Amino acid sequence: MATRVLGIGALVAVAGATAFALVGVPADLNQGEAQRIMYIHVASAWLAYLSFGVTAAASVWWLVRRDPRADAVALAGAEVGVLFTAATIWAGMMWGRPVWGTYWQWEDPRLTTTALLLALYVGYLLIRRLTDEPARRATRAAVVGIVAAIDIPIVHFSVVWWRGLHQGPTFMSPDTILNPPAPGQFVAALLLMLGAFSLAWLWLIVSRYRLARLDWEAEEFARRGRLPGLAAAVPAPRP
Amino acid sequence: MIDLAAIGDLAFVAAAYAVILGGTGLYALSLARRLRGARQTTSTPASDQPRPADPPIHPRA
Repeated sequence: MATRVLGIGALVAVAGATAFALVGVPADLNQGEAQRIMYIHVASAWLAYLSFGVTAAASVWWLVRRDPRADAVALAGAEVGVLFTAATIWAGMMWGRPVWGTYWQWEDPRLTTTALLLALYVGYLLIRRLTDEPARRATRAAVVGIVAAIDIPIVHFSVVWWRGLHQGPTFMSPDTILNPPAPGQFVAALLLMLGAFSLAWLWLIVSRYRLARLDWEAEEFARRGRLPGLAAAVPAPRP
Repeated sequence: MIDLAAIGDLAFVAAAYAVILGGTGLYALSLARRLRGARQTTSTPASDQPRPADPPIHPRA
C-alpha cells in the first residue's frame, strides 16, 4: 500500500516538476529554451551517482555478511543507476547540440568517463547472468560493483581535473552554495525536479529490490527441486 | 507575434524530456508487471506440498 502511494506521489510530482520546468520558469537569456534540459539532466546525474553508491555499499555488505538482501539492493541500485545514467547522457546530448553545436565529443573527459560508467554497470548486469548459482553470482557482482564505483568520483571531478566542453560544477562548490550563480526560479525548478525524481527513484529501487528478492527465493526453491508454481502449471491427474 | 523559433526550440526540449520520462515509465511498468508475475509464482503452493483432499464423490440418488 505504501509503495503504491509512493508510486502515485512520484507520478504526480514528476508531472508537476516537468510542467514547471517546461513552462513555469523563464527561458535562459543566453541558452534560450535549451537550458530547460538542465533540470532533468542534473537530477538524473545525481540520482545515477546515488544508485551506484548504493550498489557499492550493498556490495561491501554482501561480502562481509553474505546477506541475500544486500545482493538484491546492489542489483536494484545498478539497474536503476543504468537507467538514470542513460537518461543523463541522453539529456546531455540534447542539451549539447544547441549549446555546443555537437551531440558528443569523445575528447571531453566528463562525457567519456560517464560513458565508461554506463558501460561498467551494463557489464555488472551482464556478469550477473553468467552463473545461476546465487551466492557465486552475488560475490562476483559485488567485486565488480565496488571496482566500478571508482569511476564515480572520477566522473564528478573530471570537470575540475581536466579541460573539456562540459562546464565546471555550478551548485556543489563552496563559493556557489553561498552565492548561487543561477536565478532563484532556476534553482527552485532544479530542486523540484530533483525531489520528484528522487520519489520516482525510491519507488524504482524498492520495486526492483522486491523483484530481486522474489527471484532469489524462486531460484532457491528451484535448486532444491521445489519450484513454486509447478503445482499450478501441471495439475495432478485426478484418480 | 508568435515566435516560431522559440516554439520549435521548446518542442525539441519537450521531446528530450519525453524520451526520458517515457523510457522511465516503460521501465516502471515492466517492473510492476514482472513483480506481479513473480508474486504469483512464489505464492502458488509448491508441488511437494500435500494437496488438499478431493471432496467425496456421492453416488447419484
